Amino acid sequence: MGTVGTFDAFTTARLGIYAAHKGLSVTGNNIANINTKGYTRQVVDQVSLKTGANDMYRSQFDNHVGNGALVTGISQIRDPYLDIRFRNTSSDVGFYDEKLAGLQKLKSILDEVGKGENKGDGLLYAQLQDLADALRAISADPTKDNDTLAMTSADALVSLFNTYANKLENLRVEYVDSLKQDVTAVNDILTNIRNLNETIRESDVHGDPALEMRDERNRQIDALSEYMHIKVTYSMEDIGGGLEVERCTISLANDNPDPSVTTDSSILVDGIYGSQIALPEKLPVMNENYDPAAAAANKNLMADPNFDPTDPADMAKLDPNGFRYVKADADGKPMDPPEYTDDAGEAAEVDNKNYIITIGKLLDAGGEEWAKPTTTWTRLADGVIGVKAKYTFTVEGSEAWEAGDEITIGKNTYKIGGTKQVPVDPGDPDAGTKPEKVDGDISAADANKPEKMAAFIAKCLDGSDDYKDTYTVRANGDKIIFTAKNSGVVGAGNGGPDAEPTLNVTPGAGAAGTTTLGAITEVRPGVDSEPPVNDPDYPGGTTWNPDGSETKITFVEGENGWMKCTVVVEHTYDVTLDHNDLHGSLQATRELLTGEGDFATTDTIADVDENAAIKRGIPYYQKSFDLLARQFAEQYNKLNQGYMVNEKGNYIDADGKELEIGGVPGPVSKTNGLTAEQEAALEAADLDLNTWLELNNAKKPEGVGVLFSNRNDGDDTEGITAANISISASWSRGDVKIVPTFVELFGKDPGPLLDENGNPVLDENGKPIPNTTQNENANHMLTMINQSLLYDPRTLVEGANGTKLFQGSFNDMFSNMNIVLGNDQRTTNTKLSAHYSSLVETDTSRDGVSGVDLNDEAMNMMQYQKAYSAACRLMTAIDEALDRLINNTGIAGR
Amino acid sequence: MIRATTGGVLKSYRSNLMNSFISLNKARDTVLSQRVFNSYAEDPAAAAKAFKLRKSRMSVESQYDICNDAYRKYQTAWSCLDSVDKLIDTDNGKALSTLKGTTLKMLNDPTGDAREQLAEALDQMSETIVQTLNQKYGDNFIFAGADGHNVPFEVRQVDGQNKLFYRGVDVDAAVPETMKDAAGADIRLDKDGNIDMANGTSYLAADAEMVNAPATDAAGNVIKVKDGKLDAAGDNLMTGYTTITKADYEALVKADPNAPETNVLKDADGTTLYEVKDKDGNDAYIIIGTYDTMTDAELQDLKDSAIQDGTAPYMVKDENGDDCYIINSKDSIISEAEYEKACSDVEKLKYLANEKYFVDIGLGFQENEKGNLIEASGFNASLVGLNFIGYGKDADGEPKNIYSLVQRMKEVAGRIREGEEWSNFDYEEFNGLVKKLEGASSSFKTAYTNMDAGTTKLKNNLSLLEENFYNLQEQYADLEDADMAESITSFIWAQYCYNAALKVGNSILSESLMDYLN
Repeated sequence: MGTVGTFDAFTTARLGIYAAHKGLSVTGNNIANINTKGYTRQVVDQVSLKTGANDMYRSQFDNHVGNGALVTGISQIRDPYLDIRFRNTSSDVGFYDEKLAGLQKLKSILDEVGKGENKGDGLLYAQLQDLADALRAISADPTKDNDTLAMTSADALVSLFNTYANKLENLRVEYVDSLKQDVTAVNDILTNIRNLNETIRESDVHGDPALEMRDERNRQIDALSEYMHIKVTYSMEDIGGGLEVERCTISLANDNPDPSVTTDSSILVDGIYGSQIALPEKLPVMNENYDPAAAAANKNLMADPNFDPTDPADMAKLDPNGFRYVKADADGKPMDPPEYTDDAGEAAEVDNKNYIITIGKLLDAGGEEWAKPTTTWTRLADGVIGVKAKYTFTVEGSEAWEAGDEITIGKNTYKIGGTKQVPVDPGDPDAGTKPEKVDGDISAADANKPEKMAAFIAKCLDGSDDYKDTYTVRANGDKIIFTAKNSGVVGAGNGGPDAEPTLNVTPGAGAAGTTTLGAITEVRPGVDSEPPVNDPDYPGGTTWNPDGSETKITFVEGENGWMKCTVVVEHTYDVTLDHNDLHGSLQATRELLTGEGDFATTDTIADVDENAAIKRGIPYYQKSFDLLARQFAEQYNKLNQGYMVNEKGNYIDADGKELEIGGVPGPVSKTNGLTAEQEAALEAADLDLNTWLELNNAKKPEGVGVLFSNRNDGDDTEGITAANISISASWSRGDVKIVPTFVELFGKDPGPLLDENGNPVLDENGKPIPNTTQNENANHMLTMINQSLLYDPRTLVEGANGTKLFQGSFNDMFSNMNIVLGNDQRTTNTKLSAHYSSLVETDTSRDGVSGVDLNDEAMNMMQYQKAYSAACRLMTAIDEALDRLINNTGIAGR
Repeated sequence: MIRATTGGVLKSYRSNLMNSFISLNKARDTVLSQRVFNSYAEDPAAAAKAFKLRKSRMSVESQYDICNDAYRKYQTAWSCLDSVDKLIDTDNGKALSTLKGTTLKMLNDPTGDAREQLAEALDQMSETIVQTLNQKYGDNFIFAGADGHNVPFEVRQVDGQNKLFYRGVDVDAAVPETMKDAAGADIRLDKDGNIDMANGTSYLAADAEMVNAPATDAAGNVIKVKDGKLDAAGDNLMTGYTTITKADYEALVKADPNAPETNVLKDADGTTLYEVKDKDGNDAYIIIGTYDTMTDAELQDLKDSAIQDGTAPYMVKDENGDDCYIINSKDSIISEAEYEKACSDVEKLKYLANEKYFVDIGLGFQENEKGNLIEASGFNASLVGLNFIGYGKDADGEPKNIYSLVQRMKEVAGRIREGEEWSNFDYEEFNGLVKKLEGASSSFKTAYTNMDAGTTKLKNNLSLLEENFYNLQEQYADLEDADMAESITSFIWAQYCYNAALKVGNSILSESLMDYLN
């Protein structure tokens, strides 16, 4: 029977009270934080306490009872998988939400459903129709009044083009600002997370779980996940002394579909190091041929102490492909021919038109750069012949090789030649010596030069059946180093050289052959040998690797030999992200700013984004509008220019005479086109028809000229866009008017319109009104409104990928823009709804695990309250029991 | 097992409440805007279609205006033509106020007492016709083809005669008939009016004045006559005679010895009948009185004034096969410029008569790939006055134009002095012109009737456009307009759902285990 501690039970009761109290505190904390955003339900980690240990004298009847409960900690209930799911979905929601918001803003500009007169005639639609009405009026009666009517209508139309273009441009500028604000917001979050990591780390070091800070960190990470798709990993970091603390690493989530791109997994935060993102106005011009391997080679070259950066010969050894940027010339433009640099400050810069985001270096709060060393220890070969394993032999003593010495290599013995002193009389040592020539395989003089000797031995080995192709031999100082050519373990059957190399050197016989130079000692590295520093086969020091890391190799002598210490240090670098590295609201904003759809050039598709042709953001709609405006201006300008023809459709001169192309008989017909001979004549003269007509004073109708220009104080039609399309100055002034006809009947100018008294009728600018109601050109203009035209993006953007944006009338083109936008909106809305539902579901699931539930907490409260009461009751019971024992026991007979 | 936590339930509730509110808002928007969709995104296909329909409606509105304008123009034109018709015809019962009545009156007025007045009346009527055809609709002349800004018809005095011009072109322009040589080639003259077939630039008019050359006998000697018999010594050279065959002569003598044709030329002896061969090679006699004579001097003068071919006068055969000289006069010669102008005027008239002027009245108005209007897609609103009152000349060289015909009548009538009877020749000519006027008025009626068909087409088109307008309105209304019964039901249902959601919210946090703790 075991012993019973008198006050043990008090301890048990006390621990029970403590545990229940802690439980009540945690329950209270949970209830208090029920509305705290991001709060994770906490629970008490409670274990039963058992003191003491088994001992050899313990009675088998001694029943061990536990000593109560111990609160080991307070933890959070969280499901990491749900966090991952939530954050993945959050970036989807962020992306589609932002995209939809952008498309809705575009819609509010472009969509004319329900706008305009008659409850939805539209604005641009109605204005185009208004112009058609004006042209119809000109067709029916080409008077000055009707021309003014058409000009007023066209002016309203181009104003609409301008208004739409301005609104689109304003929206684009808004989004640039929005992107900048997003970058700031992301940077705030990244800083917060880094700071929280630091605080949590410190708490971890001090044993505090820092649960509230983790909640805050989760909240920040959730917020970050809306902006960009991220990957969050937690690892343990050894901080020495057997202590490990948690390290939170956040990187981009590898979203780029191009497997060769690695920037899409760039680290944003790693423990106490964090980076900042940026949206630079300018980007350095990158070296197109940049090769990381060449960059590493350059660094290694420059790390050589013999490398002199001021020596042009040394600099010429550097590989140009090892530099990241193209240097700028005096104007900041890329140098031609190009020169390269690694210094971003020296680089030429280009506008960051694709709104590329850059990620800065990982820095801690003090600005210290992140570096990640990975150390590996390798024990140098000990009995294992690696390619790098060495055998060295030395000749003991300091005597030099002398003529007559012999070296036995395998079965062959070689002699050292030269002149040696031999006794004049071998029987009389005092007789003196005399020189004697000895023939040998190597002279003594050479044998004493390690390089020569090494070369000789190498030759001998090659000539030996035993050692052929086994070792390379070279000199190292006064030593001769043998390096095995093959890996393997020494000894037959182990894949290495069959036997340990044995080289016997028979010392020179001397006078009596007694001089002992000592045997060649075979030494295994690490054992009584020196570390192979400065040995080309064992390159110590620092080398740069193509991936930007640095390898530092040192040799440390351990108890059992030399150890090779390889430290690969990864560094932090500025990263310029690829176009598709991001996913989330940041990317949606970027795509709204960069999406050119059919206007994306083939170069952009090849170099920037392979999906650029299907991404349609604000630039797509801007350029579509530009294309529409340009097409409109071009068509009408073309229709209002040209030369007069007579009633037969032949071009005429000022006198009404039909023109002929020199040497080719027959009129130049507008109706029938040129004959083959006429075409050949023009080709021979290297002229197009219009130039020829101009040169030959072909007659032009009055009022001919451009109707639309790129600004309203000029007639320049170059580069007309929706933003700048204007009524030409000439049309405004009245010098140009809509030419109703290019036909001059019977080669005679009909002259001005006459009033009843036979005087010319003048317009408001004092010019005579042409006297005709011919209307064929006015009809062309009228039909042009509904003409099916091809909209080719290449006419606006050189090298554009799309060849046929749309074919149809002006109205249809505008309608098509809206249909594209509407469909994109619908698709995005559907995707957003799906992702949002998923997000709500995941969030609810996450809340199911981590959220506080009042019923739960009420149960806990009751449970802990009862436990508290029970523990107190236990204490009372024990007190009563002891009272009985102490005060009321052994009083029989009292 | 997933826990349903207080926070989770609230989140879920919030999300669902928001969905319910969005549905309510959407239903409300539909009721307020009365539209099925309010953006392309809601129904891109319907939105695009609705805009197309609206565009068509707007076009129809404008086409209706254009068509109506054309219709009014045609109606005015119809009124004008109706009054012209009345001026031409007799249907109004006032024969004397019409061209036809007046001309008949002139024909039936042998005394010619009122011929001058009637001719004047004709002239005035023809002027009225021209003025009527110069009527305007709005600012444009109705019958000016494609040139509404210029007076189409203009009367100019040319060589003392009234000539009618349509847009500067003589309405009677015809390719001049030229005289041809035996080989059928145009006879070409040099600048002096002499024959130069190779390099001549002028033409000889087919009606150039021809004068018979002295007649010759079988031996080729000129025939000289005096007092009904040959007179070799005389100075009277015989020109242009008519013969009677020997057989006819003998028959006639038997039948009527005093008939004028029996008085034939005799030999120098005065008794023997002078026998010649006629065109057909029969023996024949020359009837006295059917020939002229000229003296040698006159012959010389004639030769001098005749068109020369080299050193000798140019001779041609007249319709009787007699040799003739052609008088070298301005009237006989048509200069190349005159000839070409006439040809050009004919071309112009042809062009102007066919001139078209298309307007868009909703027939599809479309151009082909060459940029030329597909004619069937537009309405030719051009009314060419020429086509109503005629132009050019007929095979007899008489004008086809009503005004010109009247002028010709006036000219013929003017040849006879007031109170004199018609000469047969003039009467016939006048009568011929009257018949031609009838032909011209018949052409007028045809053109008039054809134009009426255009008016009907416009009228029908107007009704069609009107119908189209309502149809289109109905079509896009079908697409766009919400069914209010359905919209309001949806709205009420959405409101009901939202209210229910709010009610659920009110009770969602009402009870928990906490409430049961004592």
